[in-house]
Amino acid sequence: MTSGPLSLETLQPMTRHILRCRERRVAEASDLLGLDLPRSAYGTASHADRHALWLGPDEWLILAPEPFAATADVWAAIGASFVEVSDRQVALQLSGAGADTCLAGGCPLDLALPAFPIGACARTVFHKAEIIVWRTGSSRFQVEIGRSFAPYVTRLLSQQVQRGRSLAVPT
Amino acid sequence: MLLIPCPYCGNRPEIEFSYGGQAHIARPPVPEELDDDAWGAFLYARDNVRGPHRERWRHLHGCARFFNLVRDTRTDRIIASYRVGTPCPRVEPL
Amino acid sequence: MFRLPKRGLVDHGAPLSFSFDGRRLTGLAGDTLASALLANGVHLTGRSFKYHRPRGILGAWADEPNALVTVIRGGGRSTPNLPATQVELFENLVAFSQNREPSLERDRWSINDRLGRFLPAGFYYKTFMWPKSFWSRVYEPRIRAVAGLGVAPEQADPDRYEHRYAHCEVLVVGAGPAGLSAALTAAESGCRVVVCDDRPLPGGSLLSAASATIDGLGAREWADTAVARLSSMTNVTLLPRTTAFGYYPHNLLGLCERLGDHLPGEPAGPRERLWSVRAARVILATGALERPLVFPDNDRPGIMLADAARQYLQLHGVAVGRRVVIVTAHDAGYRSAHELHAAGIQVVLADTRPAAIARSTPFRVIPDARIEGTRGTLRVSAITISHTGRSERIDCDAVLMCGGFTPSIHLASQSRGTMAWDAEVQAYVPAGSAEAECSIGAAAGRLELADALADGCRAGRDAAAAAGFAARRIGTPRASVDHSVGQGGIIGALPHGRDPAKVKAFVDWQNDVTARDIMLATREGFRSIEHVKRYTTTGMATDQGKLSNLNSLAITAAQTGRPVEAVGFTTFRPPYTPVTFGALAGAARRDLFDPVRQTPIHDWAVAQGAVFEDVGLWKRARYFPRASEDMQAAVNRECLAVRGSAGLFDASTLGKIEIVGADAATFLNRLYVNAWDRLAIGRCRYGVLLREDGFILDDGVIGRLAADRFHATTTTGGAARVLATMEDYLQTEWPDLDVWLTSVTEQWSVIAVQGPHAREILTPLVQGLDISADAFPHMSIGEGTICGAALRLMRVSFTGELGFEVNVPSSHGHAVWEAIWRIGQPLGMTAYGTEAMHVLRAEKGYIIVGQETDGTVTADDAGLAWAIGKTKRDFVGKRSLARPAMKAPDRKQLVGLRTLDPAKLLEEGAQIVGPDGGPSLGHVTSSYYSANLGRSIALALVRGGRALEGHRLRVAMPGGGIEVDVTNPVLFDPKGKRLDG
Repeated sequence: MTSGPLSLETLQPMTRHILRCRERRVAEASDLLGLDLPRSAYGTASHADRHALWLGPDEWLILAPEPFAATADVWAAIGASFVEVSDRQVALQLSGAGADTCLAGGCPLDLALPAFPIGACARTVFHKAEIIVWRTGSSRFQVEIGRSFAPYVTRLLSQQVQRGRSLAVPT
Repeated sequence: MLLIPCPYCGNRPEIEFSYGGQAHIARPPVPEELDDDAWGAFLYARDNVRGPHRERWRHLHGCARFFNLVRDTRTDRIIASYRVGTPCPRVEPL
Repeated sequence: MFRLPKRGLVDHGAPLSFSFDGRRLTGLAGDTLASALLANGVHLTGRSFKYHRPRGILGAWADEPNALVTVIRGGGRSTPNLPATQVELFENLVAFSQNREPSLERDRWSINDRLGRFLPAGFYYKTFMWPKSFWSRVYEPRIRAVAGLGVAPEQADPDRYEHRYAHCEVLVVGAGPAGLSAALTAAESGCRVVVCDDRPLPGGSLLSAASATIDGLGAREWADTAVARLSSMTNVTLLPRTTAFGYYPHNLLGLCERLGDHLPGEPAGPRERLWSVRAARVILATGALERPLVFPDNDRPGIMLADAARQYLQLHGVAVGRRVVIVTAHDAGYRSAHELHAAGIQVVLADTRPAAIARSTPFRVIPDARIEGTRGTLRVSAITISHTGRSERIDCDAVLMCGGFTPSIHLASQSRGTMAWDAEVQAYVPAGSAEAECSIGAAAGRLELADALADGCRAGRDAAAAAGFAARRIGTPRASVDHSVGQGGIIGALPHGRDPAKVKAFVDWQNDVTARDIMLATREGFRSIEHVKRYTTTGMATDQGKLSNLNSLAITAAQTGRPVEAVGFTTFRPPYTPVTFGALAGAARRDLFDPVRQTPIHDWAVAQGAVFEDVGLWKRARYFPRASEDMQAAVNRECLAVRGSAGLFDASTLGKIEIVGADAATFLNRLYVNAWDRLAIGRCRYGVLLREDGFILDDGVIGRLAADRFHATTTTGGAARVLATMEDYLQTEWPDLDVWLTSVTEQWSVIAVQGPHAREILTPLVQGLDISADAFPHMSIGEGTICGAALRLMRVSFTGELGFEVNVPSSHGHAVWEAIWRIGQPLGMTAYGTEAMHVLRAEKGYIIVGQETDGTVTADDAGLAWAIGKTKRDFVGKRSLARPAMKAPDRKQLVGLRTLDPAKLLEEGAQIVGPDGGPSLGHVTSSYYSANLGRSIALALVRGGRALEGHRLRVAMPGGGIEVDVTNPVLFDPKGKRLDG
């Protein structure tokens, strides 16, 4: 499988929400979202362009290209909290051969495919910033970063990417 | 850096966690019923354990949950990890 | 020249030029600085720490205590205290010796050697006692100048360093015969294997094993094959030049990989990479170090370890001398003697053991030898040996020592494994594991090649299996050797016939500790090896006693009449060898030391020439100077504009938490001192949050957006702490409450519009929300839109003026700011920074958590008792407020201070005393010049302060006090009328 050259790009703005609810409300929340909310660590679920990333047993990051129709009342009715955080964080996409090694410069998780397969996500750290790392391909990651931490993470990742590119041996 | 078994996420590196002090010290339900000594003990008195210590941790940069560990303070060996609200597993005495 | 043609792993066709103390010399590719110096006949490489005795190269790698050099590279690169034995040679390397003045050959401090009897162990504790003040001003600086190592570099390190996390099933430390066979076996199972070795080439002892064969291949050839096989496997990471320096809990090992120091010129990439490797199993194949012998005058240049001499011969093709005497207490000395002899070096072997086996050797063997001393000033020239009742002086140019081998148990010891005394090896060997690790081969005291290979295969298989990988069975390689390592060894001081008071027999070369020093320590009552170590400094310094520990242990044992194993040993701590600060820091330097957080309005402020200050990780605009304004001028102008017209302030860094759920009001009631259940939708309240001990944790305005939805703000610095506190109570104390928290600090940009014109400026921009005075009074919150963006508007004020805080999604923050700016500027609005904000709020007596509070201030102390919900039975911290000390009338309370001289500015932190002096009554917490009041203002915490209003106190300052009158903290618009403007 080819994975292409290392690259780092900032993704377009998207709609983000933090969903929080009790476990017994997960089924209803899933119905409202139109996808099966993941129920365990590292889990993600997608339907069309809509994604749910497990952050904790009562917390999910919901990503979508467009705003949601459901209002606060609908969520309140099932005892859930659905708070928009679209502008709270920004997303980078890191892809190409050695993307996992770039992350390993500051992220302590085991990102080998068997331990962190495609679709896995985790909130963790990168150097001194909190990130959410989501593997969207065998060598492609989406990294969600708090808005004001983005320049810091981007610079550190760019250094790794540049270095990784200079090391890449043409095949 | 410890490798801490989060009851929700499994083994994760210590830098994702924050320490929360001794576990199983519940806030008295009606604090005004406590005399000054008892309230002072709740605020400040903590064990200084040499051996298995029940302590609170939070998986701050992970699932964000508080949970409890039994950690041997002599060796950093982690003996048990359990969720808030569940009883501490039996730990053999020193 | 001492280079032997065609020998070693050096490239005889690739000469490299280098300089040592300014002398140009030539070495070969593959040399270390030490081997290149030896090839040029240079043994003298350093002066000892205390006595300034001439010292030569003693070892061949990380055990070297003497030959410490400073290597200079371009661009300010200067690395002191590098063992020449570990410095790889490159073209134009520049190195200098250390601790000598003016030169190695003629060092003026060598007089210390003759003063030696005045400088015994702990001499500085005994000698430099009087006068006491001289210690730090005179004695210590002078001692440090004379006794020393290299000089720290003066310029910032221009190199780059990086960190790397790695995970594997099996980590093998050491790529000698044991490590390579372990790695091969483990890797064949398919599990992830990391193998590191601190030398430039993997292979360990195999590289110098001239006469050994494995599976029919020469030892070096077998190692090459093994390395090639490992390199070809995608599940193996092979790291040469990589030192495992630290063993941390739960099988995390710190590795330092050297990427640039062996290359000429500036490194293209990082100089070093620090690996944090988490391994399921660790195999320690760290080998063993040869022990020196403790005999009189054992430290002259030219006296070195026998196995080091053998390695210089086999690895670098260097003869350390032409006529050598090998002093041995172990069979391995014979192996060295055989190999040196075979290379044409004249060898005499002196065996200290009484029953030296009469071997048929091609060189002379002196059994039952006793070493009486050596001669030679800058290089050993002779050795005196007594045997069979007579004394014999043998001329030589090198003396080689073999006292046996000490397993390198450093990492096993760091991992808190237990050690057991092995009487046969005469050393401690690993006996029990605290972590998932094992020691194999020479590191476990098993010195023979066949044992190392067998250990490796077994350990590799076991480790893979323990990690859940079935190892393919591969046969143990079969080794054959001409000369086995054999047996024997001795620890402690060798006997001699000379006056013990006049003899220097060194135990620790680097710290100049002799056998006599250790005996002195035991005579003075030190029994614990930890105390002996600290008193004599044996085993300290950069080599951490790699060569000296066991000998000092044995001398202590003998002196105190105990067996060695009863004395115990000092636990090893990281690092195994020194690690550069650069490697530890990694990328965390300069502007990447910490994240630098900037608000969406930051670039605008930069364009306006703002001066910034650090608030936590945030950069906040402190003031906006115009033309030639200094800070005070700018702040004065900003403060006047806010109260005269309007001001625009970036409050985006405020912490924000959205609190949602049916029990949200109940939750806030339990947490904050205030009452929240009757707060109407669309209204805000200033909230105070205490810790359970009753002291202020944080404050902020909380607005109610809906019955089940609150928008809470926190201080900039308290954002994470408040969220963590809230989650703590929700998760652990009140899990029954239906409340959910979401941090929205970075979701919302906050633009504060403050001043009499604030409403006029905002009205044309706000849509979907009536912000007229009647519809939107002070402490309102509402939602609408502004410039097409979602708006959460709060009518709040931290200035005492009519004020609004405009919350918009961060991506709109800059545009909305500009829109407000365009409308406000013609009305005289100014942008103001944190400094003006501080002044304006101080004029109003508003506290800043962390400035007026310090973790010992209650709500009442800060004048905030009015916020406490009087009918609430409980909230976090309430019970503590009823403790006697919390109700004492003489608690420090917030007051204003008025200097008699209105131009006089107090210093924040200055102590406050009574009018006639006496003990401190408190301190100044805030102090500014107020342009609006035309005088200086200050806030302070003063013991029983509220009762002192109108009284005169003094602020103690160097050169006299400043008289002040105590006032109410609210100095401007005390009735608060302007809020309703």
